[in-house]
Amino acid sequence: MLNQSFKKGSLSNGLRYILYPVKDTSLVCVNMFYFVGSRDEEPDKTGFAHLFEHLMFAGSEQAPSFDNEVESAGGVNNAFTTQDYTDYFIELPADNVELALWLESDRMRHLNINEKSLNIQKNVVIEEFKETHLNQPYGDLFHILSDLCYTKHPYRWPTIGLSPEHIEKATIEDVQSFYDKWYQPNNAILAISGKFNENIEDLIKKYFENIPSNLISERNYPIDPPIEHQVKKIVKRDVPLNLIVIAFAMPGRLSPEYSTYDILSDILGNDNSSRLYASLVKEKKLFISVDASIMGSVDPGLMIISGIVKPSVDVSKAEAALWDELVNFNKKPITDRELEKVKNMYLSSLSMDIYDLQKLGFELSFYEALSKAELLFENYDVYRSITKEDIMSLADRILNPDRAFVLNYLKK
Amino acid sequence: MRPNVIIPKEPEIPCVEEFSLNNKTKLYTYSTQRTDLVSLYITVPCGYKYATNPVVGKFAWEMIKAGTNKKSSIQIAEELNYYGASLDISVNPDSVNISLVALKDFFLQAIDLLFELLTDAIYPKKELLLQKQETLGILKIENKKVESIANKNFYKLLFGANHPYGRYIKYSDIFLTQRKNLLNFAKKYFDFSQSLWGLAGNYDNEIIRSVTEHFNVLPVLNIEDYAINSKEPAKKSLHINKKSSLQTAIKMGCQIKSLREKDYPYFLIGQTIFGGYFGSRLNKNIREEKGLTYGIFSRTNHFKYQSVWSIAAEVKADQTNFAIKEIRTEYEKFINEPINDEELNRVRNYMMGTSLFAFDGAFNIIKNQLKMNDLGVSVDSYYKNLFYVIKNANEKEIREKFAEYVPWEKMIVVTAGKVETR
Repeated sequence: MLNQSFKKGSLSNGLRYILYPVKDTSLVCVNMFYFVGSRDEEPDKTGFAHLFEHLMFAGSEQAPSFDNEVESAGGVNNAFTTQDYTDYFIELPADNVELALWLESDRMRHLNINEKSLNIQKNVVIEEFKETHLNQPYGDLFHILSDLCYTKHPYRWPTIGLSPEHIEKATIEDVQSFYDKWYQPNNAILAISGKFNENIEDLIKKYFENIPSNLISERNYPIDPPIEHQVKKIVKRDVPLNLIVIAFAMPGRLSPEYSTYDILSDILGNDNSSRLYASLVKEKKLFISVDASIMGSVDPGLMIISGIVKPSVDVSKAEAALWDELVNFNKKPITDRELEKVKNMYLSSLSMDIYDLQKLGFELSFYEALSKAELLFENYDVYRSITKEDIMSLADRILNPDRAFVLNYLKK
Repeated sequence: MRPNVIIPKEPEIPCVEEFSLNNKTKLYTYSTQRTDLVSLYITVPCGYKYATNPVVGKFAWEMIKAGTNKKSSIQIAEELNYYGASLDISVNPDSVNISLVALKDFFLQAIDLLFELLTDAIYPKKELLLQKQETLGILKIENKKVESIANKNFYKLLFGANHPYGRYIKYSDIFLTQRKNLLNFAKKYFDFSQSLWGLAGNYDNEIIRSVTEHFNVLPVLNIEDYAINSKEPAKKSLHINKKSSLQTAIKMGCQIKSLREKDYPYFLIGQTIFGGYFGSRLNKNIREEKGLTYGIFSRTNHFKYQSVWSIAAEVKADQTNFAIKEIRTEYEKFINEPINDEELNRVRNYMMGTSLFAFDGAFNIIKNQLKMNDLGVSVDSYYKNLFYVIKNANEKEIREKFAEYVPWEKMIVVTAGKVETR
């Protein structure tokens, strides 16, 4: 079974840390997780959390060039931002773990914030916006879908932001106040995975204990009420193939039913033996591909089913067939083997994730931020305990056209 | 206070175990208890260059999952999923790389299934039709992306439209592919005589025994591999107009000498400083100082018989010419001005430190072993030479070798996007 032994601790300023030793490696990954994402932005300044992530590499008081320091120590670093959090990591030869701790502590204590780097990173982020969203086929899909599925909650805008104009508006004052508000030790989790010595906790104390903390304000974002009638939108774009997306509201990450939604989505549309793929792609030949997954968000989120329609097939016919599969889900009982199959897929994917030092550090931090790092492993038992009846009861309640958000993303 | 940086030590080259599958073929293994997973990797030097239509070669390998005499595609997919397995098949011009990863407890069953697919694929007609539609759909989406357009036209210009490294898939290739072509390709070119094998993860002796036994039933045809010469590029630049595009994709570069050459590491250090890592000259100038792009990188791409060096970026559409001019300026500066010690030492440390990644974890170790063997290089001699050069090369040697490997006159420039750049 997977190695589940790790150590946790915390400092007087509220910084929590996790130590996961790995024997057969000469590398170490220092993962710094800040519990702030695009849901924490102002509606007229979206995309800011991600822009800020770029600025975290603009240097700090003692380390004017973050990247040069990491590279000189033989390592690599990167970061990513989501709607809920921002994760930074440095992976480097184990001997230089102290340098990574120093770098993370210095930018937590005193980031260099200046107009020049803000202006350059605004340009870089706008180019990223174009490269990943505006200049790609289906690149605005999540802009449309988020807007369709949320009217109140800040998940109504994607992490990249609503538009490049919002990025352009960011001021140096915004940067400073965002940093002061969220980039605090008591809003961060430090995870160290890989090879390290017994003095690691002393090093953590040395570099982080004296960083002052601020009170982190409680989040109280408005939750969208359940819908009573289907919400549907049709858009036309310069794309080669028609796409249908059906989304259902689902509870947040800590809800007891979260994993049942996950398993239901796997039975429906994870990989080529799933129900929707077998029926709609292989048997009825209406779709080129079909997929189901959950968004995995902290606050109430979405289970999303999407399919690319075959060029010769009428979109309404394809959508009707997709609905037929969903509303009749329980007419075909789940078999023991089908349930076992999706649980095995879950274990395999978890095993793959935690073999990677960076993913392991991130996952432990994420669960610690949510509740406790142990959940990463305890979740497996939760998944194992889910029964066919749990899934069928959930399917019965949610796979309902009146409860769905539907998007037809069509070619012009 | 800044802690002292410990200069990364020369990585130890891991000791990979070898078993003989027959008198020609070896199975490389590296074991770890740190996971519940096992991976089997197979590289077969029978890629799509053996087919006149590249889609035939690609589909013949990829569609072994589409059905056998005993099992339908859905049954195969279901079994793989049940074993927590993923079976990836990637076909390049010279070789096919097969990787099977599965949970340890089911790995013996997963091996049985893989070998059934390799020896009994029947390519049902209805599955071929589905595969064609899916591939066509993916290709149509790719053809909307300026990066993909620039990339495939770059290789086409560099090697010629009919060379396997320059021949990209056209819609007509997909339409023309028939079941009999796939059956024929499998019969003629599924040849395991020169194949490379690797096993990594939490395997046991029974798994090794199973791989060995199954190997003996695979076809051995003793096909002679061959290289195809390419001509000089017909022209130096090409622009593909995409009026609606917000950015222009730039792809430029040239053919280079092989990584089998003794002096290759000198070039590799130069290429890293120039554009091969985040702190490179190109990225510092064009992203971090001018904000013209989300990212710009140069890289090497090693086919089995030829190697390529290229620079790629998507830039602000109205600044394309300026970006290309800046690339040229950085190139001239690199060739002509000494590299300072601080930058050179940074790159020495960076390259030595990140070499550890290729040797970290059983899966990386075995994948790297097969990749290097497929390229005709011994892991031991390549890395020993690389580490020696990283430690000892002086800045002048690095610049001279860089200029020798990639003279500006050899460079071709392909752009795809809104602005006509020349």
